[in-house]
Amino acid sequence: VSASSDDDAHLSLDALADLDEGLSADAERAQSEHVEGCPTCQRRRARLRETRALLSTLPPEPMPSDVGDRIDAALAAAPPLASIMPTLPRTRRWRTKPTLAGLSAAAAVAALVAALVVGVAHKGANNNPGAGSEAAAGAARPQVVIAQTSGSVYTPANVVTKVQRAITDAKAARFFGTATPSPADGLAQPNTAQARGTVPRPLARLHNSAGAFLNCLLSLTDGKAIQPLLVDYARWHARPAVIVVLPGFTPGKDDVWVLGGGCSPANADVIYYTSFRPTSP
Amino acid sequence: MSPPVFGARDDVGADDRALLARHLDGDRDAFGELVHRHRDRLWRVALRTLGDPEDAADAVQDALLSAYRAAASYRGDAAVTTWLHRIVVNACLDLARRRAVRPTVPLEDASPPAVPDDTAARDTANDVVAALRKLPVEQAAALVLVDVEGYPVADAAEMLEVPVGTVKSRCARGRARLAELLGDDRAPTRNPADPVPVQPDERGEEQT
Repeated sequence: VSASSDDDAHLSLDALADLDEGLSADAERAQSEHVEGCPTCQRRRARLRETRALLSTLPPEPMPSDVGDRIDAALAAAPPLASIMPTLPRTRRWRTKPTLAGLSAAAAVAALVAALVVGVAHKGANNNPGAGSEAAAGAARPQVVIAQTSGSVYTPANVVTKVQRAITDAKAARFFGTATPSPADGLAQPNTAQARGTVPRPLARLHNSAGAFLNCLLSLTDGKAIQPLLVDYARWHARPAVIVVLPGFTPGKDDVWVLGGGCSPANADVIYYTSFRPTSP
Repeated sequence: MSPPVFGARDDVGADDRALLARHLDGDRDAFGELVHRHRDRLWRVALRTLGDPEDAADAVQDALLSAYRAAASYRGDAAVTTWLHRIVVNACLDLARRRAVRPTVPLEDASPPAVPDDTAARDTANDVVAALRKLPVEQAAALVLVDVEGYPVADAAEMLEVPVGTVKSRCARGRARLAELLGDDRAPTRNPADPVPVQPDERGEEQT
């Protein structure tokens, strides 16, 4: 019997709450028998159940009209869905950066494939992100693709921090002419079960075939050859996932797409999406 | 509380899917209609989880704009409302984590929720809402979905993108902490031996 600190004879609120949720496992029978004959524990259990009942009777809170109006206005101001992806290359962000613009579609796609293939290979070979993609992009001189196989674990809580860190580190590495590994601060740690540089099996198709990855990417960009800022073969919680950062359709914002290994033209296999405002270089 | 209408879920789900499909086809009004169907519930989840109306408004707006843009990411393997809740809950958790420290409002300093002017009910609701704000946001979100909104644990797990056991554990920890915060002086209003009233769906889920 797991006891409380104030009285070793009785179950704590935590233990009783676990008992109510069926989380007590092997101790459940003994605990239940104890509670049955213990008025103190019965009172505590009643407090827990009363707490639960109080939560269930909280009064309804309709959305205030000013909040509803604000959201309606924001949605009304959002670009029509059908126009979002096609406008991607025409946003201010893309006009002001050296990009694939100006190339024919075929050349752009070819450069993108080359950048991704070389970027991935180069990162895996010598941990120098981006250098290969710069060379591969040649005359187009696009934004460098940061492609890596970190195997690290992304979550909603850390994804923005991590992608910004990866992009910042890669820029620093290019500036100083050397790779700058992220500090081992927990965010940058690879999953211990997944060695850095190896790709989880469900992602192998995307990783090993530039065509498959490009088709996946084009499904996000409505067929436009938009060069990603970051591609990381990693994990989303425990699930293998590719983290892709693209220049956002909202000027000044970047989009983060978390994709499953099934990503294809028919189904982008999007696990999670968010956008963020990148910090100034 | 307005519990989910489980019996009508299939009809609601089909209508929601139709609205989302119209949105993807370029119907400018469809997403707004979808939002209007669910916005009160999404609002309650955000407000109770974050405890601050301004934060809740920001989180819901960000979430709904994300859902508008990423509608193509809806894969049909969950109800549309589950998908919307997932995006809203994620926005709430992101917001709370970005702030690093949740607002720790003393019980007596908490701004009162808008409740009917029934003294006993208002005082109780104020205490409960203030105590919710003192929980870790993950526990608050689980309790809001399961105990406040009455969603089955399995649905809450989908919304929170965690295993069912994690939802149960967060709820258990949260209830124990809330019971502590609400204090010993809140005597049970019924015989401890009486079963706690829970949603039929939820009871069934938790007995598995």
